[in-house]
Amino acid sequence: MKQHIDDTSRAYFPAKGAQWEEVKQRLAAFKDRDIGQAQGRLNVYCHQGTPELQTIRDEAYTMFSHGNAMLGGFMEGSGTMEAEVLRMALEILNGAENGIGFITTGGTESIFCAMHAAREWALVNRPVPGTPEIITPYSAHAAFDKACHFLGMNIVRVALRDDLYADVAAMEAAVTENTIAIMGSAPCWPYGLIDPITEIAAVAMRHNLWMHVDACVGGYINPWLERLGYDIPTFDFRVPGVRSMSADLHKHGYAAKPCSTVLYSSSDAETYHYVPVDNWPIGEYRTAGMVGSRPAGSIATAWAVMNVLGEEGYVEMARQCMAVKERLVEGIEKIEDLKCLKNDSTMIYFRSETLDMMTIMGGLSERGYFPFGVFNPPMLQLVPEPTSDEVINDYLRTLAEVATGVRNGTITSTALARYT
Amino acid sequence: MLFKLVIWLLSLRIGKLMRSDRDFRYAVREKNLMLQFALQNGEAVRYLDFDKGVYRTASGWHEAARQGNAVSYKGKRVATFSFASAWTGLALLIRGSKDSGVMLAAMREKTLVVKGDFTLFIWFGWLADQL
Ligand SMILES: Cc1ncc(COP(=O)(O)O)c(C=O)c1O
Repeated sequence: MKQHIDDTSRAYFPAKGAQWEEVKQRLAAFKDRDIGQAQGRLNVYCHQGTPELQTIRDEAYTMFSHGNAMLGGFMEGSGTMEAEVLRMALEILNGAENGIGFITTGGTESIFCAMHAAREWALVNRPVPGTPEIITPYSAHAAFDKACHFLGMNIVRVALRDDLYADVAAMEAAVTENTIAIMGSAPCWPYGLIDPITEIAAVAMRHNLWMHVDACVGGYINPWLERLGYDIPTFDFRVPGVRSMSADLHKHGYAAKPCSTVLYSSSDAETYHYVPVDNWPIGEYRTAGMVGSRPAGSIATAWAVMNVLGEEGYVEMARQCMAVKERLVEGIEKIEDLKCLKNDSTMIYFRSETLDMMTIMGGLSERGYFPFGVFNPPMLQLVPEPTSDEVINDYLRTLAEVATGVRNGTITSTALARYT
Repeated sequence: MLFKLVIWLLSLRIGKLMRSDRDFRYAVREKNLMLQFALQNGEAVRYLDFDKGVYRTASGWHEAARQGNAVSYKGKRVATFSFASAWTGLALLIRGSKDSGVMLAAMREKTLVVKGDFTLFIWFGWLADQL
């Protein structure tokens, strides 16, 4: 993360303020220095949806931009709005009548909350002699390592099957007396594959473990892909044994960031979710998740987008994502030496047996793109969105040019895609 | 041979950091990974094994490296760096330790082949920066 400023010789905090018009121009200049919307569109600027959704988000956010959702309990309107978003989330993911949920700042916080609840649940329901452990497939999101780090637990990442899905037998073999939880992704971020959730949940039930489904990416698109007839394995609260799910509204829910949901199969989890505090001068203090103050604005965007789109609208968005994916996959596979990996999501992963992917990334970033990818194995990743033909064609044209350049040795600069 | 000597010196330096540098020990305390150095003719050079705060190194093969190209072995992230020759290895370590671009170029030209967990290539860059 950039922590260094351009010019260390001057002070940045002004002694005297400037006019908003001038400050606004400088703000706009920062925006201009960011990656171009079009170039980032299939990757970093993903989950924007249509221009109409962008306007809805802008307007909804503005209406609640001063709101603090921490105070939802006192704010009749904001509180109801949040409760309705959570109700809709549980309906979409087939939660039970007594299911509960919380809005968090993102997948990472949702995962943190679920792993915390699992740890607390285990204190009562599965006490362990040593440091609590959670078992994940190798492809689980990095947020699980962070959660375990913060929570004083160990993470055991289990090697995948050759087809990159979770190896359930190996996960079961990894269960020890210290294991408290197990999870699967629907889908995982590195490969877009939906782990065998039903089988993993069966392991959880056999060994009395907490079962979490990380549907941060899939929670608000898998149901629509299912409606469209894609072969999506059951991944939500319909699966017996699933106790918690993380699902991000700021991904395919098309809400503004930060907005995610952590959902529980039953209100029994409430005890394990909350960290109530009362031994400080203010007395009782209980917040929805890890953070205290949090934006009401992004919750308003979620509520607005969910109500504008409805199921029909979301299904249409999913259809458009898949249509863009099909066009891109077709275009990418027409380029000599590039092959796409099949997956269970809207995402695209492509690699090459002969061309060096790091050099492909280098060529793309020299041309204004922002290529992100995977290291094991080296692949590039795209997140298709309803986007214009120009954006798609420009990407494919650039990629073909880069592939040719890498093949004939005229492009040699390399880039590494890293989330740091 | 000089390359083996340089890798050995590098491994000694890491051992010293593990003993005497608190920041370094802190940075690797949770790492469970193994870097194997080898030559492309199949000759093993040395491995560096970080096992949750315990550091081991020896010449020859680590048992994980004998198991093929898996990204992990018994929960340990593993990678093998095979250099075309001792001389290219030496040159790359000298020129490339501070510049991952040199290493990436070598990978393109196959004078360096990294097998296993490719993320360890990045980690090796970090490690080289500490020495
Ligand atoms: C499967 C999965 N889980 C968790 C996360 C973390 O989400 P966030 O970045 O919102 O914290 C992501 C983000 O891409 C993800 O893909």
